[in-house]
Amino acid sequence: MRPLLALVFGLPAAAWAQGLSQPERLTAGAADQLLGQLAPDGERLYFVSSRGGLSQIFVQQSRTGASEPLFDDQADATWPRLSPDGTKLLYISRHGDAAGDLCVRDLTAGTRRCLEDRQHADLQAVWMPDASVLLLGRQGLHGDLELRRVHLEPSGLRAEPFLQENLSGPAVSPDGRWLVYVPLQRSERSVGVSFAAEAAEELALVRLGARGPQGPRLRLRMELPGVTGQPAFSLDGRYLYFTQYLNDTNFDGRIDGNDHGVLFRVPFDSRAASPVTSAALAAPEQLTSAGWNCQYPSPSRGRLIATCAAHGSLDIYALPLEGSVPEGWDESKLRDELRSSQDPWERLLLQGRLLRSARGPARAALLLEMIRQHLGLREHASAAFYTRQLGSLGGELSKMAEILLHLIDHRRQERLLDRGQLGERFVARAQERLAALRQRRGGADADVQALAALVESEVLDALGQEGPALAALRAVQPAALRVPLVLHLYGERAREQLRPHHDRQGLLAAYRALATHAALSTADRLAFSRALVRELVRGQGRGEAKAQLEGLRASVDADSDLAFIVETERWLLDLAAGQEERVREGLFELYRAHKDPDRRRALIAATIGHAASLDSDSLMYQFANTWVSGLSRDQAERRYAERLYRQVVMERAYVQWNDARMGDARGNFFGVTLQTDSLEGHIGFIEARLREGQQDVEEQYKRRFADRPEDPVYLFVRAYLMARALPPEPAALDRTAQEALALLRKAASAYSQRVELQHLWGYLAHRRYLVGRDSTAAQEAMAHYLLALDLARDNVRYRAAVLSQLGLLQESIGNFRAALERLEERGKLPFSDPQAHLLHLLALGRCRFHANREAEAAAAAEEALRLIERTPELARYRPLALDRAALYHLAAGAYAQALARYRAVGAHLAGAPGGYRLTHLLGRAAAALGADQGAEALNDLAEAGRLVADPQVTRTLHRSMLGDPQDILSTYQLIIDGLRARAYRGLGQMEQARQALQARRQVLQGRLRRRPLDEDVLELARVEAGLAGLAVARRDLPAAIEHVRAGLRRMDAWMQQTGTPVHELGLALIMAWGDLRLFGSAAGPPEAELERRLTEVYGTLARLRSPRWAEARARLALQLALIRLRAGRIQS
Amino acid sequence: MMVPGCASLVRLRAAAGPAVLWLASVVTGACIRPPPVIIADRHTVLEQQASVPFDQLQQDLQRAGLSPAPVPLTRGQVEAAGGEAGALPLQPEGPEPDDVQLDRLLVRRCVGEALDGTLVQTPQTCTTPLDPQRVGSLLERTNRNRWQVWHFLQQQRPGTSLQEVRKAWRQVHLEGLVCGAQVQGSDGRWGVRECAR
Repeated sequence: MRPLLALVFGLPAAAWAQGLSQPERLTAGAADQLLGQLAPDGERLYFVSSRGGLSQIFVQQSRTGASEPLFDDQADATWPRLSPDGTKLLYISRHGDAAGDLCVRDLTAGTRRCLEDRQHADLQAVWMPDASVLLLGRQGLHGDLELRRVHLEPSGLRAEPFLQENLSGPAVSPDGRWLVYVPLQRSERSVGVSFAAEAAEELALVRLGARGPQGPRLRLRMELPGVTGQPAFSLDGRYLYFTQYLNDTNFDGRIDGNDHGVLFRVPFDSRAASPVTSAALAAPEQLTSAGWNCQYPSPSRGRLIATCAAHGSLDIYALPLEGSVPEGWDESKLRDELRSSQDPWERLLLQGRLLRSARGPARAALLLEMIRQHLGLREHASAAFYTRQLGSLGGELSKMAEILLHLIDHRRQERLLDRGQLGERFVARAQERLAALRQRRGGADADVQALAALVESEVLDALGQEGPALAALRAVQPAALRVPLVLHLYGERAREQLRPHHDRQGLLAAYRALATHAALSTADRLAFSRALVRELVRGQGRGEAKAQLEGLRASVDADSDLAFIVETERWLLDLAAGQEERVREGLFELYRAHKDPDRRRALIAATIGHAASLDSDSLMYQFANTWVSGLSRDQAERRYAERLYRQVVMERAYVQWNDARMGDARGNFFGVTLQTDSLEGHIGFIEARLREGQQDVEEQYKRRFADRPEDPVYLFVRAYLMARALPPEPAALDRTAQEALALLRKAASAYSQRVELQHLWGYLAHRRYLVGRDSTAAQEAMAHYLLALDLARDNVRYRAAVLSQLGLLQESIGNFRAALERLEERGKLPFSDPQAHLLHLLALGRCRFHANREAEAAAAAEEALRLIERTPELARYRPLALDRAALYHLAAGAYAQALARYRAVGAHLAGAPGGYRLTHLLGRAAAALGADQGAEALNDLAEAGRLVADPQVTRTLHRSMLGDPQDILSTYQLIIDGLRARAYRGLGQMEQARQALQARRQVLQGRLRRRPLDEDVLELARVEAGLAGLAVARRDLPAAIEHVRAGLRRMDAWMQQTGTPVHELGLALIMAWGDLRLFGSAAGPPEAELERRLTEVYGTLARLRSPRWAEARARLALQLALIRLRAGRIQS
Repeated sequence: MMVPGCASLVRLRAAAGPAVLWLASVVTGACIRPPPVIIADRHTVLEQQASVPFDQLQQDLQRAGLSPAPVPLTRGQVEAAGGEAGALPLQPEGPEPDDVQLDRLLVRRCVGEALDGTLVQTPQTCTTPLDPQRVGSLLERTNRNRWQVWHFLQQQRPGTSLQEVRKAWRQVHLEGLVCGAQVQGSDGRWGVRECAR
């Protein structure tokens, strides 16, 4: 029947079968993304992001998901608003004024104009239909707020006064007739409204004329709990959207913008005298679930864009314009969804819709249920709001409402008590409350009496008056009650109060009364039955528990819900004893015997829960399968059954996969694709089939989707098959990847919030980046991987895959620290593929190396080598891992290990390009030097020298080394000469060392002549220092001094060029000169230049006074003192 | 960070010693083209001068190691590695009653029944991430209730010390504790309550 109705009303059957629309995430990443606006053509999304450290305005391409800064003003920019024609963007910039200036950017020309005015701080702005701007700002730090109208004239931006009023969040209707805003009031006289203000609980609305606001202010007071903010008009002006802060979700005692926001809308008729009717104010349309925190609604042509907070960051989301509840859902559909929904906020959203048309007892019942849920969620403002509506129904309900208001207020106060904010006042209020409640005693209505007693008990309990609290609770007779809310409160009180007093029997009796109560629904009775059983067997071993259950079973009506639960639990106890088959049969018998959907659901939940805790895979599978098979696709409950089925069966399939039982795994994956719309099921099926050696997958899918080739599942599968078989040749790979991406873009219309699709998209863009090094492909990959990571929160298999690939992508673009975070998180999960594991370890090592964690990098490379040792299929990668281990050991100063690894790499380089051999030889020589193997180092360096002289070799040097070949050659020559000098010195061959250094000097001088670089000047100074050291070693002190002086001349040039007052090398040279003159046997008095230099440097260090130079300062002082003493210029 | 954007921005020149870091050009919407200034950091230089790129092997490994499929892990494998495989979608969403929350926290060893009868947070043994503020608030409420009960019991048994009341109360309380809950032993160590099978 339902699908037929769906067709009659033009709603596709698929839409009928789908649930509430969830917000679709458009941006991702750890930073905050907010204030999104979609361009009129839907191709670009503009938003503010803090990812660069500043608040910047970004633009994201809808086609690829890649985003980049729209511009860079080198200052915070916020509040982006597109002009109605989409050609300009206004925003608030702090570039010229830290308090904020309005700027307007022409998106085509890229030009910018700002209203630079130091007298005003600009805060928010909105476009008018005539392309002028209404700008909210203030004069001075503590000035009042005001609206000015800014005209965009050829000569610049011109502002004129518009409205003098403290307000926030102005919005103008698309036809320019109305202005809506949130009125503000100063909360302190002396402090500006920007810093201390109270927002009105409602919106204000004023008509706009040619000269500005005219007529009286209309108040738009929504009949909702909490406060209203952030109004925004739909593009056609037919709706006013807004954010409602319904409850004090952060429990700070106030409802304000720091609490969770919920989006609503009301119809708006611009031509009417009162554009929002009282009927609309009485029943605003809730668009988002209160389980989300969404704000800043921005309706576009086809979607509602909002900023929502989830998992610790803000991001931009999209919803249908009508919100989460699809248009066309009638009462029966709403009730069907309500019956199976497990999310309390979604239930409230559905109940709110039903409430709009509910009347009489049905309305009262709905209100009571909503109040109960809000109490359970601690949403006191909403609970109070609906309680007042209940009270307006009159009669006993108004008495009940009065008592409930006491309860709500008490709980609100007690919640504040948790933060230590109330003491005496809380107690005084509680006493007043008790007095009021006692006046209710003696009435006729049992539910009202019981409610008063329960609230009294709760208040007394909070005050620590345990005896009277218990007495009040025990006075309640549940059998006499009819209102479910009261019964639930009774159950709650019993649990809260009796357990700490160890009144187990009392608690069991209370649960029993509720588990068999006729006034409760089946679902509620079953829930209390489970609570009773849980309490009965709590803390007991299997044998005792079974005995207790037998005893209970004997004492209850065999047809009752309680008996059903007891029977179920009795069977499940035997599961722990390893009697799986017998238990399965018993439970199936029970399932078949009971047709009630609530009972069946309860049995399945209990069975699967127990089976999961005992790893009883086959039982989980059978009952998940039974549940889903028993529900038709248009039933709301089917979605929950599918979700469970998918998880259970996929797990089963992966267990079989890991046991290499591909046929069984394939069968289960296939089952998932039949029963659910899981894309992961399709992937599993494809992979299992291919592992079985079958090549007919493509053909199978072609047949399966022959009648619906544009089905999003088929498009996804086609893209997946292309992705897993990308050709190696770069141009062909790029083409194939682009084709696959085109298919995914089409599939995204149905599956944009599926982790499988986002991951595959990221993978394809990633592969494109690896072959083409196209940065936009990297951005696209990053964007989709981040979305996938967010969507993979509950899917550890995808989480592992995305973390790996995101880390590898970031590593390949050089974001080593960001990559390290992902790779280390990935490393906590197991690896199933040795190649993926090896790739991970090498990337991890590289990232650690670049993050200055060289020893840990070496450890990762060694782990890679051990993995290769035990995995024959990885043998060919041994040289790669050896080389990385060698490099990281070298960097970590573990020279012996480095040398061993370098030697091992050498064996794999026969026939390798000259450039490879050159860099290998240099690394090996450096390691040999560090390990005191000077002779070995010299052999390597001689070979390296021959390679450097070969022009063919330079062509094969490292890919990223672009530029002047002569520069590259000379660099390597310098390295070789430098290492040779060290090697000779280490071997005591000083003359050869000197020659090597002189050769080095010559190369540097040649480079300086070609291109004067500071770095080379510094290197020359180092060479002179090295030559000086060698001269000292052969006791030629005058030569040493000459080299020192030459080095100092170089240092002078370097320090002047770079503006550096002090450098270690300069200090070392001057102190060496001093030592040579004063303590060496160099003949002659200290040169005047020496004393001058010493004095200069000493003065510099005295001025700078860094602890780093303390030792040098002391030595210089000593040297200067000695020189002056010897010259007779100090009194000794 | 290497910023994808303008091509040819970064050119590396190797140096024999520690190289100097210059500021990279900023990527703007309209690319600017700075002079071919060399940018290097010590590790990049070392990588290029003292190691063999093995480009082909690297590419082959990337091709083999990257996959469009998820990692075929089982819950058992994840849990054996100390990870959380995620709960089955059986439980209703939304806030749990306090006692259900406490049972869960006790079993996950994030909270323990201390020797003095109160509940305490035990982050060193906790096996799951949690919101310390919310848990703290929960424990504060529960402990406050317990104190009120103990005072009440003491009033019912004049001459009994509060310590004796707490001890007696705790003894009974532990008997009814959920199996697997974390409990502090008389030696001060934290253990787990075992129930007979």
